[in-house]
Amino acid sequence: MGDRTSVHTDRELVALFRIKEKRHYAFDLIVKKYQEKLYWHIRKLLINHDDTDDTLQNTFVKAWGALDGFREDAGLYTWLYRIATNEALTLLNHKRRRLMLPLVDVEKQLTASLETDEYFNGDELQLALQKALLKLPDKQRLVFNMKYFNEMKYEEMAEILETSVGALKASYHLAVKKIEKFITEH
Amino acid sequence: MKQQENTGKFIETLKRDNPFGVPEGYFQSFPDRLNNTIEALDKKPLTVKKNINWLTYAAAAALLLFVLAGSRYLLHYTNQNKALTNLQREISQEVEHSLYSINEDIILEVMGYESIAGDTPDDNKIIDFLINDDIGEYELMHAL
Repeated sequence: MGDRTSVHTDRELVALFRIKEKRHYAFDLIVKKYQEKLYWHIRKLLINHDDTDDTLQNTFVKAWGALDGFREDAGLYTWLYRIATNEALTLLNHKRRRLMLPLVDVEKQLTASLETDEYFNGDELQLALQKALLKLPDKQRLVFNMKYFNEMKYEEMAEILETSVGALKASYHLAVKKIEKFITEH
Repeated sequence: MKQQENTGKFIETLKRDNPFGVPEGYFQSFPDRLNNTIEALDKKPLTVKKNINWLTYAAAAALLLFVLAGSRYLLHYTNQNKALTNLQREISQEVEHSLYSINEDIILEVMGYESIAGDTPDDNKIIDFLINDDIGEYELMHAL
């Protein structure tokens, strides 16, 4: 990315979006600024590229429809992350409801998808880590990804996930323990 | 390391590199694809009512009457029986199953779903809507 996106702050981009003639231009800048971050955030939850692509599109389509009413209580980045997270979790829940399968089956599906994914470039240990992550409840996995891979601050995560720092720390700690247990046993 | 003190040692030894990849040129083409989607949605604002015709209503009504009649019959003849709980569960499953066959447009309209421009009522949105508004099969049955 380069260039024009880094010239504008988020506030400026939102202000630009509210000018009718500039909204497409402004939104294009917003998409270019955040598409990669959001993609990786979603991908680590959904594993599969196609599902991630659909969810990323839905995220931005929702943002396009709602940005006019965005009150800027939170930052644009936080707001987009929140939409992306909700969209990804909704898709996972939808899959479970639709398939009428217990948790373990969707988890198996995701694991199988991981093993056959032509775009997974990790080594054996990274594959083991991803498999261990799939054993966690969605929200614990989400917290682990945000902290471990994205190195987000707890305060930032708390704002996005609308929960307390204490709960996040506990969740992360639990996730690490479970992952280690899984990896040492397999 | 920024990790908590009690973070396991093993986790720390793993590479944090992103193990996933994307098709070539994906991020370059994404904004244009998205833009096409948004433009298409802007041009064709959908309303839920458009797709509903009287035949769909009639089919849904007939199905629901059948299920309701069956439910009442079963409830009436089993209300003094200890097996009531099991039957209720069966009825509930039957009702739930029946709801899957009803045109989603009808469910949305009856429950007051307001379509916005470009908002296609796909399965995802319907499930979201039902969950967010805590609408269960009995509320739907009642409303229908």
